[in-house]
Amino acid sequence: MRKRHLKLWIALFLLPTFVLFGLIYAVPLLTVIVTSFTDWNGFSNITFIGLDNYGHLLQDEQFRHAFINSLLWGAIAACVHVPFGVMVALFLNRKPPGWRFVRSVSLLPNLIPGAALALLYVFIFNPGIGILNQFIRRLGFKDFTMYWLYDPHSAFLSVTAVWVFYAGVIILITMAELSGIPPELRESAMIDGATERQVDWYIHLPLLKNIIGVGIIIAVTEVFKMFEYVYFTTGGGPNNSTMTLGLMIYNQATLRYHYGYSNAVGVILLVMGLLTLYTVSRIFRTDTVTH
Amino acid sequence: MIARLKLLIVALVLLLSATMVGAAQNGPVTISFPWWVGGGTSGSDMWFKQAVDSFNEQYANQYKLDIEFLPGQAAYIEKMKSIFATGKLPPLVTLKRDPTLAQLWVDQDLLVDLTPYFDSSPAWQALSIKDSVELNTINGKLVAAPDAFLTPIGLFYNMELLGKAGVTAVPTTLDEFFNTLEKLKAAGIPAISLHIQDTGWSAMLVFESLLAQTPQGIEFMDTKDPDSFNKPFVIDALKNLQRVLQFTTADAIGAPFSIAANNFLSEKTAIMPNGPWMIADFRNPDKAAAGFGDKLASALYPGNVAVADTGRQLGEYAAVKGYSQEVTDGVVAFAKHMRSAAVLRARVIQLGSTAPNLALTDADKEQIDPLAVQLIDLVQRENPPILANFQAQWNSTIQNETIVQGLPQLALGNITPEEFAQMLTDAL
Repeated sequence: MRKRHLKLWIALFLLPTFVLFGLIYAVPLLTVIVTSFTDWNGFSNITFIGLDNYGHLLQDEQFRHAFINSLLWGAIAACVHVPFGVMVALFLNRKPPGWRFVRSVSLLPNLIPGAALALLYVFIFNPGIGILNQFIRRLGFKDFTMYWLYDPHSAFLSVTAVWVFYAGVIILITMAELSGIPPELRESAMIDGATERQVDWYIHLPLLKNIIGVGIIIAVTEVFKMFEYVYFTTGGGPNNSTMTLGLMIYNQATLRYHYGYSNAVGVILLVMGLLTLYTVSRIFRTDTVTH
Repeated sequence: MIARLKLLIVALVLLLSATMVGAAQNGPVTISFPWWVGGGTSGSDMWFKQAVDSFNEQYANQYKLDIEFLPGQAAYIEKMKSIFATGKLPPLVTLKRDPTLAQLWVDQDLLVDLTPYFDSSPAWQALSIKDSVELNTINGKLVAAPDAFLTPIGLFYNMELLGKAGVTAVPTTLDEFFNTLEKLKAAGIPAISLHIQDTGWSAMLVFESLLAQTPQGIEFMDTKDPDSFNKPFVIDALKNLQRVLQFTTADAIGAPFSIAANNFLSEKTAIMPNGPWMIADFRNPDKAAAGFGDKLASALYPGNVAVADTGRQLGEYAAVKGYSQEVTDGVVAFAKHMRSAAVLRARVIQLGSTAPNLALTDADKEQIDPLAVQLIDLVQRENPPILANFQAQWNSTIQNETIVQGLPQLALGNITPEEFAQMLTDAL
């Protein structure tokens, strides 16, 4: 009897969570999935059209660009952004002079809203008054003018520069994980003659496997849905060379009123996120204990 | 004793609450809506704020406007899209800023028919522009307050800078215009202030004027949602636009309008495409040097063309269904107020608009800025074709996606005018 009462109380306390989860996540998610099979302008009647939206996506050049860009940025996030954050964390873990200051400063870009950061870079990259071109001119290249965000050869990398080295979150979570590693491991390695680099490579990195995996999941899923950085800089141009799935969802829904089509892109994005989660979890075995 | 005291306190609280509720119900009706003008310091903002204040004063016991001022037209459009998606529009909306959205509202019959209000107000009828009344009457219903003024958009020339380049008169033909641009460039002066970011409207206004060099171009701009941009006169206009884009500042690509405006106000450039609402900035000591406005001349676009910011679009003020009669009456009262003689007079004097049906006294005319008078005189004397603004004629995708991506590439020569025309056509 007492056990039944206890279960009832547990269920009652969990109920608000489930209700909120349902309202905020489950219902909108189901709506997105269901309406991805429809022709709907967001306001009037919904018409079921089966897999037409997905068929159209396969032929849509803009989607192809957005999909490939998302994969490329995902790869950059996994191979540059996260390793950079981990490297900085390992360096700061040695507590060099000023490490607290560097740790705090590294987080500052993460505190600035993405839109504000993007607008900042619009000015940095401005061909006339931007500080980047002006700096290069000061180095002696007086006539130098580069249209960073508008040249098809530089736009993708320019947008990448807006976020790739702002790895404050990765640094934080890695440092938190490092602080949990027993110091005796490092001390015994140092006694045996290991250098700091060897300690980082042979001891810290294997023990950071889980958090690196988590960091990759966070970073890759973030770039998959990237919106503000592209919207406020290039608008997806030139010629869709910086188009993302997030911006495509926005354009299809709010500019073209193709909510059904936009939601089909959203479903693709969801599947990509789930695949990333599964793949990275399997590779890094994030569910196993490391120490 | 304590029980009686508690009972007395409860009774007093109930009485007070009832009184407050009663007072709230009997007080002025609050009308809440977002708007994009009125939150800043531009001439348009000042005019709108004054008009709102005068309405609140006139209707102090009846209505109270609670306006959420948004930073610009783009913010307003975004907000309206979000609100529309939730199913509840505010009681007052504009049909001018996003033609696609406005058409959806009209098609779904979301707007109050203003015909009874309009028909019962001779003063309102007298001041309204007849073409605008017809344009805003859809399926027999007046969907928005008709326009009562026109704001022709042309060019402003810094005659001092033109003089330094050896140009003594404002160009009137396209050849003279390009000749002026060449001379300014030769004198080391970036000729024209343009911004090539977002819709790049300053550059697109120039494009419209280039289109209007032919009768087919004029007809093209008269057509809402054209069927194709792949027409010879459109491509010729795009070629000319690409040529004009070579005479702007290096920071134009990727720059917001504020940079283009600042270049002109700080006398780095000699030509500025914009409407007469910018005249207030020319005289504003916070924005331009003393005497700057006196160096300027107003002009039509080359080929004697003007673009209209108003008068060729659906109306500025529309009432949305689904609100109480008091709120709807309040919205209509505000729309009427914005079309009243006093507010129109202020608009003409402060922002250089023309109100064809408003009689101005000599004292009124003396208050109008000479630059605005110059533009009005040109319009009246030359009787130019006044084109509809592209923002009213082309869909959201073209404005916010195609032009955003394509215009910088046209400016850089990375795409040809033919390719840009194709991009625009694909977005139809």
